[in-house]
Amino acid sequence: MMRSMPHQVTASLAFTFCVLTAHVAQAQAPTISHLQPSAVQPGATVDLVLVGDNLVGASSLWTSFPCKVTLAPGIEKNGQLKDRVTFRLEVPADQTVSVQGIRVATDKGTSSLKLLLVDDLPTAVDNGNNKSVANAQHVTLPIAIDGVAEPESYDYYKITGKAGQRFSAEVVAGRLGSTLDPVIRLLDAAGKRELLYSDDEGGIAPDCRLTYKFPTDGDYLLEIRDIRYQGSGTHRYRLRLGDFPILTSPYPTGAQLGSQSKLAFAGVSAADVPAIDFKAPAEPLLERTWIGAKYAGGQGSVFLPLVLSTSPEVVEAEPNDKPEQSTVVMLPTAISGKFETAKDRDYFQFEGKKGQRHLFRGVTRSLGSPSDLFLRMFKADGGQVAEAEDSGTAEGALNFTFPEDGIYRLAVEDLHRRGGPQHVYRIEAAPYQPGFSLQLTDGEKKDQFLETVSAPRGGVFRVRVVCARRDFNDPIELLVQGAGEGVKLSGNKIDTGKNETVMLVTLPEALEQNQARVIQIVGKAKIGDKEVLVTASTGDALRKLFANNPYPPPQLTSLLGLGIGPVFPDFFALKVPTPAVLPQWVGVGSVKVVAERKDKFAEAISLAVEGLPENIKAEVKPIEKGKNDIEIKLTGPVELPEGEHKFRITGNGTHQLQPRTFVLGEVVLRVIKPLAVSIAPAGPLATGAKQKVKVTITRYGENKEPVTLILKNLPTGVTGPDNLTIPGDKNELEFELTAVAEAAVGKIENLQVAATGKLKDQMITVESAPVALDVRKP
Amino acid sequence: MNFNRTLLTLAVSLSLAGLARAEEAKQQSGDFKLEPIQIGTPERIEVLPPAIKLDTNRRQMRILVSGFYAGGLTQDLTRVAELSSSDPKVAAVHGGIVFPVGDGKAEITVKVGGKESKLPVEVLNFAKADPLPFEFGVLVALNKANCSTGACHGSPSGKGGFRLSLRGYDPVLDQETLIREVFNRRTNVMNPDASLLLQKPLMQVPHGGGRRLGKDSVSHQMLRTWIAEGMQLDTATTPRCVKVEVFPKTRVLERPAHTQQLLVLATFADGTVRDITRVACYSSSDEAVATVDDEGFVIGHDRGETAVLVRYMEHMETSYLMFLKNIENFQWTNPPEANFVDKLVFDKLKKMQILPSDIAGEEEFVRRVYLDVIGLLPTPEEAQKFLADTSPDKRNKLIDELLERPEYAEFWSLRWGDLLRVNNKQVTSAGVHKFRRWILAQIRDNKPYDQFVRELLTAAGSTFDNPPANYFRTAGETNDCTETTSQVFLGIRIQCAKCHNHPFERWTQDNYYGIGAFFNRVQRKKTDNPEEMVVWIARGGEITQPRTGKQMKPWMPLKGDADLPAEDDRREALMTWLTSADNPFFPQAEVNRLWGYLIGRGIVEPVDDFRASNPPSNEPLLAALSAEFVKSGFDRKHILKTILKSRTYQLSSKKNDFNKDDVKYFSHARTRLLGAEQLLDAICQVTGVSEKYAGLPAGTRATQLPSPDVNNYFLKVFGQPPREMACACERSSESNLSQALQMINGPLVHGKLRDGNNRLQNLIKAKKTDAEIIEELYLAALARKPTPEEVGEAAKYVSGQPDRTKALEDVCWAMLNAKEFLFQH
Repeated sequence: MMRSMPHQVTASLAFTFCVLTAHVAQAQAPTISHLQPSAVQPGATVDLVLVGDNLVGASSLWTSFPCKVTLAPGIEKNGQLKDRVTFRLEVPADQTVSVQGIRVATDKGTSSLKLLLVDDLPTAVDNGNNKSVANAQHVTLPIAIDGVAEPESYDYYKITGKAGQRFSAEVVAGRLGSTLDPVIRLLDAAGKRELLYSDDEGGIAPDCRLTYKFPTDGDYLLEIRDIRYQGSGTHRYRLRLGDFPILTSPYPTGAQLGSQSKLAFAGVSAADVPAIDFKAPAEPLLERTWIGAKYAGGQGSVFLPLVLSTSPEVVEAEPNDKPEQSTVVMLPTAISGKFETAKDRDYFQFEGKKGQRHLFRGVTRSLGSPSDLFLRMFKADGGQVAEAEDSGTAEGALNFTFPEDGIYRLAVEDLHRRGGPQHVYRIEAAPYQPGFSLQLTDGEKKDQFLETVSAPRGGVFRVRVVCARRDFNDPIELLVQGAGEGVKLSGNKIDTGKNETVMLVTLPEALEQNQARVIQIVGKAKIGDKEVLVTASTGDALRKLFANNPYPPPQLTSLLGLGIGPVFPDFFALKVPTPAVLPQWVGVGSVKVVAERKDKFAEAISLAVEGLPENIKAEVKPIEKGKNDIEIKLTGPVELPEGEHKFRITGNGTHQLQPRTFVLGEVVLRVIKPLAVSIAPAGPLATGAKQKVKVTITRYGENKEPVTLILKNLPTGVTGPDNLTIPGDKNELEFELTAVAEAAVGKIENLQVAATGKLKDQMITVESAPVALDVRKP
Repeated sequence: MNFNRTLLTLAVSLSLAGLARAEEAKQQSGDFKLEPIQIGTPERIEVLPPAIKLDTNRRQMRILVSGFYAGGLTQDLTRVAELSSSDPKVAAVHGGIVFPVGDGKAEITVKVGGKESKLPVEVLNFAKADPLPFEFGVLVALNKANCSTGACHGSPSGKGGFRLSLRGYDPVLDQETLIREVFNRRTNVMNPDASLLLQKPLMQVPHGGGRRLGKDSVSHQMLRTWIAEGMQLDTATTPRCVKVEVFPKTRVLERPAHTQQLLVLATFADGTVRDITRVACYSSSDEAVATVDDEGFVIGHDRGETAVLVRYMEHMETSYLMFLKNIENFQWTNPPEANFVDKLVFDKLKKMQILPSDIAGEEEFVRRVYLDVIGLLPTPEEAQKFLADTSPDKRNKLIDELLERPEYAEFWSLRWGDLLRVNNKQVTSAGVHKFRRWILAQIRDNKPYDQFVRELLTAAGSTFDNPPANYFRTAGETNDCTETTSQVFLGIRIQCAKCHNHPFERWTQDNYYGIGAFFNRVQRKKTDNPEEMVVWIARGGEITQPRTGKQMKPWMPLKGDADLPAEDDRREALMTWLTSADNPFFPQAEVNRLWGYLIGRGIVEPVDDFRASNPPSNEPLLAALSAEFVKSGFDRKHILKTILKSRTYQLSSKKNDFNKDDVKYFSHARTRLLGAEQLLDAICQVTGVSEKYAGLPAGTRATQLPSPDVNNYFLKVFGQPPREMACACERSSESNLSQALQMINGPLVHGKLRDGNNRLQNLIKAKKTDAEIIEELYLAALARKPTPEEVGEAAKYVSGQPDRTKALEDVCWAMLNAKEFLFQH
């Protein structure tokens, strides 16, 4: 079933921050350690403080429920502090009590999901000084206290009750992602006598709850601690105290889409809670929703999940404890039932057609019921034909093909033969459908489940989409929803028979930072003649994130947080240290391209050359991984005229998934003579003395001919040797200049040498650059 | 602290290690020897069996003669009775045993002490061949010769390459071993005397076990006969023994009577009753009281009781014998009886001529009852309040009050935590707290014991949601369930029967797996939480006896096999039987444990080792407490109150001349070292400095610890169990040198004595005088005020030291090292 995109609200602020490198930016994505308060009330305007880290510039809050959000005004430096930011939430009055989620965004990214309660009880705060009976914090009912457990300690709350007054206490901790494993005890006023105790409450464990009727007027104490006496900033709780019912689930446990139904309730307080009218939405926006329930005139609600189904809802008809008393149903259907007493066994009867394959799926603990189902299928004659294998954490399923036409009976019982008002169950019976489900894990680390992905603005993120197939082998196309126009995908297909792909998603530039948002990854496939869309689940990631919550809110388990950080910074540059040269009559030259790498970027850089004269070609290779330069070979015709040309070198690299292009424009290519010469006197030349001079030539191409030298611009009285020639196998010549005693003293700046050689029958003469010669008196 | 404290050590236990052992040591005088029987004039004699039928020439029958005297005395006259046969051609008498001579009928006349009795004897089938059977012949003989014991060839790997099944529990294996192995050299049918089976025990060839048989021994004769007869094997029609009886079943012998011949009769499946006295095996539960020889002849050595265990293959029977003697100057003082406990204890003491100690003084009582009920010392204020109370029922009131205190549940849940193996390794760190909390609530709420056990033994579901399911986590597989349940809730150590029939008890391998059938369907599965486990019960599945391959039905002691509905949780049937009126094991195991905790020794000791060869020291008391427990609805507090309010519990630990040797009849309070947690808490109480345990709130006491995983060295040294065994014996009560060093030099004691905010420092800061401080220390540590001499000696010491604070620390240190502090008394 497709799920809807959640409501998204953003408050924008304009802050400017320096740009940091991408991986730093991801590390600096905002985090939320806890919320103050941990709940918002329907119809109230609440200033919600997000306490965490990297919150500077937080300006956008995503909520999983419709809600108007602004950055709370009147708070000094709100939005500029690293460790907290306050948003003002205007919660609609008709918002159902429920567990919801939020994410906050900065220009560095988006936080992981944080759970928030929509609660109709007012909030008080643990005063931190309530560690003993004597210092119990006095609170007035109804109330919900946001507290934090400290190591090796207890918190005590004092409440005042009237004789006969109904009282409930419930700890919402694991269900809000806390690491606390809470235990509560209701004590007498002196703290000596334990009246009630609750630890792991089946169906909501490790959370706990109790209900009590005060026997006398007076004070009572509520003690709360972690079962192991652990405590920390993550050991938080919301302790709800008041007059709310303790229920397991609505009854029936689901409502058919588009139907109007009367919902009663199952649980220890069910008898005192009036049924409610419920109108199910017509469209399958979500598989589950939340509903609230309260006593008639009660001051607080309990929040319960309700299944929205496509099948007709049926409730067991007691007595159906024996095969002959079976409740008759028609398939497909969704059955709600209760194990009223220990050892209760319920039978359901239906017709089966030979070869029909049906899936009978049990649902209990994810609804809040403690039951662990044991399912068996019997033929009409009583012979057992199938039994659900108990596979640990599953809720029980029986995948059954009717062997022949006839009447069949499904026997449902608690695996542990328990019973009681809280033992409600749901059986969803439907024809078996081939299909698939999708999970998201990290592109590199297969076992790291994802609930948030990050990318630089306009950048790329990578996700591994893992597929579990059910008798379906065809390809699955993957889509990304919620990331706007212009998203580019690669690897977005799970091939026939394959079970995973690593998909790269390139975000459009238009997708801005400072926007908390969620996306969905959807698998599309044709199964039979139907096109099927399946949203990838983040459930496992959320179970890991909220270790004490095996059943994270179902409306949040298909939403992938998308954080957008700053544009990914440059991580390399190119330069050409010396101009490219292409000697005449040689036809071959080169240019050296040097990469300046940053941020530990070591991958290969592919290069491209553009803008060369048409008749000059470049032989381009990449700068290899771990290398910093490459020589590009240039070739052209031998008759090229001397001259200078300009061209571009473009480099492309990818670092931390992010692609980058660097363009080196205006690279100079010189077409030069194939011979070059330079002259260098060893020092000043004294009159009447000699001084060494060195002439160096550069030969291009296959030039092995002797080169003759002629000295030019010698000062008066200074002479060099006659017939200066550099042999074909040498490239330099050292000789002496001689100054007569009367030689002109002074420094000249234009001493040159002309070199003449032969290449491919062409006589080539070049002159050196002028150099200085200082003639001095000795 | 300084070295001058050695001056105070006169009152200190430097020899701590030896003290407890000294208290435990038996002091049997052993003044009885085999003496001639003083026949006297019996009022009547009784002869067993009343009639004799010898149905083959292999049968024989011992005659047991008892004399009954005026005043209710009884004496065994077997060895002095004159026996004669009316027809020596039919039956002959030798050494008190009737042997067949030829088919016919005769009469045996028994004469002794002027009395005469006649019994008929009939001999049948004298000429008919009666080959010696294998199981109840050969294996019996090997048993009798101790060849098939665990220490010899009955060990799992045998000895010297020769392996027999333990006590002959596996005849098929033994047939193979004796006849086929080592190229048939063990048995030589052509020349029986050349059989290794005979030559080795006769030491005709070297034998590691030495000489085990004489040529005239019954075992040798039987083995040789079997070989000579062609080593015949049992057939389907070979009758097996179905019942064994021993005579007398019980007997009280008062000096000069001090010997007893036993007669052991076996009933076979063919209806024959055979005398197996000479081939049965015997052992005495207390050889200081009496010993028994291979012929079943018991000699009493000292006053006391013993159970003589008679073994014949898998059959076990017991004869309970009491030996009495007159103690010079003994006169029963008729101490008052508070309830039936006293009556039954005093009945026994009176019979044994042991005088109970006087009732404990108020100071002795208040300290004892606090330690026993809540594991803590009374505070000085509590002690003084009790001592100042003049009401006659103040002891009972205090008992009632203590049993309602939260510390009671905490202390007793510590003990159950030991038995149920509550530790991190077994039940995980979160599980420890959840399971301990459940146990604590059961004890605090005084949940009827049967319900408590029912919740444990029928637990299912998550170990987190339903903590008693941890029972099946610690007992992680069927055999562990069988053994733990038997030991903890029935007091039966059945472990041996896992691999073979129990060598010293009646429990067989079939029984073991029959109990296992109740637990075989218990399954375990994981959840998303790595610390959690879900226990569930499969709707089917049977257990197989590994030796026989036989599928076992659920089996209950005293009841036999149970046919249960196919899908039922069989554990419920087990619970129904456990708590049924005709099951003595269940209530007895618990009342005995409660008694043991309070008195320091069980009526059956060890408290979880009930067996015929380990009889209760006061069977009527155990039975009465057990009946009271059942009658009260398995109310443990009621039993605790019954014991605590008895005079027996409140007897002084000071012994008198008549009970100084008594260690098992409860004639005086038993002195014992405080338990590890009690002791550490007591040190904390006296010094006023609590101990900090990692991961637990400040102020947590040792007796509140959910598990031993706090890794406190002091506690370990003093015997805190790691909780790896479901046995009370895991908690060590032994003294050792490390304990002494901890108390004398250990950092824990030192640190608390030097703590700047301890009791002593606060008293000094409050400007208390030396005498006032000394008095408070005495009250805190010993629950009594010091005598003037004690105050004087301590004050003198303090005034003689240059540093008053250090001197007072010395006094406090000496208090902590005094026996009176370290011991429960």
